[in-house]
Amino acid sequence: MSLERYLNDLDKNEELEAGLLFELEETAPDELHNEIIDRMINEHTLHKKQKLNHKFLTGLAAAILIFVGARSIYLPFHNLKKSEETGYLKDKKELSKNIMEDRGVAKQAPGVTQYSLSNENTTTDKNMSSANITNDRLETTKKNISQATEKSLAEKTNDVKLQQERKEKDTSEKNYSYDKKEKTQVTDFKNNDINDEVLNNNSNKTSSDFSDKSYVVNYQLYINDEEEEKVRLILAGSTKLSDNIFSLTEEDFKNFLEEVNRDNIQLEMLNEVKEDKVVIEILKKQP
Amino acid sequence: MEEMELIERCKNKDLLAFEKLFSIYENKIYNLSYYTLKNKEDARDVTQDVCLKIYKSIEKFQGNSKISTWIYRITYNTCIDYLKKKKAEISFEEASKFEIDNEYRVESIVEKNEIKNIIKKCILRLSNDHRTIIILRDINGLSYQEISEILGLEIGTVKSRINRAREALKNELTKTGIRRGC
Repeated sequence: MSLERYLNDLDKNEELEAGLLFELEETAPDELHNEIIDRMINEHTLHKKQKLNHKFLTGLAAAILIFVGARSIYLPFHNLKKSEETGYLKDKKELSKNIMEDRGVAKQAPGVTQYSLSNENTTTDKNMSSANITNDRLETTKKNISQATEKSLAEKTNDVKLQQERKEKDTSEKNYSYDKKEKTQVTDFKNNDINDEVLNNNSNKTSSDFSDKSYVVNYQLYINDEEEEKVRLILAGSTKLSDNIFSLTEEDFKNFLEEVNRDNIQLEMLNEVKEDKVVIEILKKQP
Repeated sequence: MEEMELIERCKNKDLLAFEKLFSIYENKIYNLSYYTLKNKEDARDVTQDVCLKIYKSIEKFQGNSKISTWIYRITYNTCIDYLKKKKAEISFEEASKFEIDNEYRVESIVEKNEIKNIIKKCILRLSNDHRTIIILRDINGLSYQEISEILGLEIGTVKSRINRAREALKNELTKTGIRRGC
């Protein structure tokens, strides 16, 4: 009906209503709808995947940025700490200088120093410097130990020698006093000279024991065990050359004399004091 | 209200809502595509493309016009792009094959479907502009305002173009002998 009406109105040139030809509408094929839905679902999943990928990539980029940022902040502090711990020095000039000093090869062949300077591998420099430092430390400790052992051995041998000499000296003094009483005045003078010589010899003998230590004993102090504590207290402020030998200034020696005289402790002069310092040797009284 | 709800659901990428929307409009999209492109296969491809475009750009629909107007506009633009791509004038195979005897009279047409086919083929012989405006106005039954929105023309231009298109269709129908009283 509508088609006929349309044709009639078209012939008569009358105003036509909209949609009179609706019967001419084409109908879409049946499978088109399914194809559209399939394409739309594919698009949907693709869109979701793209969205997820975008999210993942942005997250990854953010994580990388954070990691790089944190590392750039952390690394300088870490290196500083590490260098402090290992003694690693960053500056090459300083490093090479230290190597030269440690090795004591300031005048070493230029090839060797050039190698250490031109060597790009910092880890080898680091190892070299640390190894040198440890070697030097070991050498110094070895030296110290050997010196200490030598010193203690020398002290022990000195003590033994001093005790032996003291015994010998006591016996010789006794003999000498007997001889002295029996001889005349003139001979006394001579004997005095001789005595002086003997004394000098004795003193030289004792001093020869310490000749390597460049001091001469001026006085010898004979004390027993009880007195020893007092004397050692008095001598506490003075310089200790060995266990039994002390060095005193003149003033200290005067004070020391007063103290000693007060306690009636025997003090025997061996040499005149020619220098400012007086050297006293403590000897134990024979029981 | 229902249409607005459907659009809102579509904006939230609800696939069921899209399916419903396409079931309403896919025939109309196909119809316009078919008469514009004069080829069923091309119309089918364009209909799919239009539906995907709707899916992708539904968020851009502001609601200032009817959804049908928006969909028709997308369809029309897609068809024009498709034609530009092909460049060559698409020949309508069925129309070319269809040769009408000048002495073919209305009285001799017994079946209504035959009249339908003749009118359809006369429409397909029209120029692109005339054909499109006849489809939109006389087949799809759109208002002048909607047609002006879809084609981007003034309402006056739409009216005058419709008149010229109808004159052209009348001439085509006269050629076929389908004229009452002849």
